[in-house]
Amino acid sequence: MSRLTDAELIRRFRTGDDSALEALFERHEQAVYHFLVGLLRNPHLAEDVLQDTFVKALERVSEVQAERFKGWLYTVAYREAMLARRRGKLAPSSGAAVGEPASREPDPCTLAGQADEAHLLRQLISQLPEAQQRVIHARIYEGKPFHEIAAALGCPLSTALARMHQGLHRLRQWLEARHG
Amino acid sequence: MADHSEPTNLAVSALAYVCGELSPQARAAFERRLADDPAACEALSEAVQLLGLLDGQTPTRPTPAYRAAVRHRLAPPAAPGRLTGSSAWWQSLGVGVLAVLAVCVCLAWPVPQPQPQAIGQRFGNGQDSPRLPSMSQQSVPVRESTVTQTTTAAPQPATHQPDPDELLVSVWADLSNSEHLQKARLAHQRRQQRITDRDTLADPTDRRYRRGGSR
Repeated sequence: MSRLTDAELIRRFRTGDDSALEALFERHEQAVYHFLVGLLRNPHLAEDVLQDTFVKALERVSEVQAERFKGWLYTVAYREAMLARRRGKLAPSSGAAVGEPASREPDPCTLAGQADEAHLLRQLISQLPEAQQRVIHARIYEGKPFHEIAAALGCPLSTALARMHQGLHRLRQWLEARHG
Repeated sequence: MADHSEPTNLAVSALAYVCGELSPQARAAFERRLADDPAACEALSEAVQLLGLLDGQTPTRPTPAYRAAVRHRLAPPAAPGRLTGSSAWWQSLGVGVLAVLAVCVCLAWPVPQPQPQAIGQRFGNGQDSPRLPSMSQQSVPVRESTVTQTTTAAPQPATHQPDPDELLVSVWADLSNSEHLQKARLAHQRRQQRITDRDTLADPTDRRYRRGGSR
């Protein structure tokens, strides 16, 4: 089922094949969910809106080209998130940023959730290039905003952000390789 | 390798947006772009996912409960009489069980029997029938017809003899109705008028007065 295209899954979903719906969830829910968390800054609300998104998108799936289903999901998710904002369900987008440390105290265990994970992360971060390490350390363990980090490192803001992105991307690859 | 490549401007913007590092204008512009640019949406999603690696707070996936909610909301409401398969079978079984239970309850439910003693006590007159007001006594013909209709309309077992107290209570209930009182009052007035007419005419052979007198 996982090898089928979105078009084929949608065709099967229309015939009442529940496993096709399950495959669509598996394929797209995580990306749309993270998109909504980024927009709404609230995981619980993001899950509510994710539910609305799938319902609306699948109710009107006949109106969209199946090969553009993921783009359609994002469009519906965006509209539903804006509706949720207008209903006053959440703080504005200028609220707490995702990835902001909960405490200014350097606490790897809290930041990573579990002590083992924190230890592993620290090990992996230490293997990153020096420039990336410094940005990640300043952001995650010292809680500094990026414009301060950029000023401290003497580089443009976009460079500090790019180093952060590169470092995180590499960390994800290493973690995925470890967890299989 | 991908991790050595420079992130796109879109990826950097998304990361800055998620980290709250954009100016209000830049933030609004990025959000406008999200409305119709799947690549920007993808970049935002990835930025959240990447930062979630480190913050340990952002859930990596939604809880599975939302899938059940989506299925429930997408399921078409079942039309009456169009159930098929196991749903229809269970519904039929449920209706049958409810019907049998209803019959059993009706059969087993104790039928309240009139208690003459209690009714007599209610009227404060022991074994005797309650004494009705004179107006009611004079309208007995009306009450009798009512009682007759009642007993024929509701068939009783052959062995059941209507209790006098029970009849009187039902008659009293009928008379408590203002409409019946009005009828009885009019009947009484008509009867008084007939008696007056009979006395005036002094014609004992008139059948009407003879019948009225026999009452």
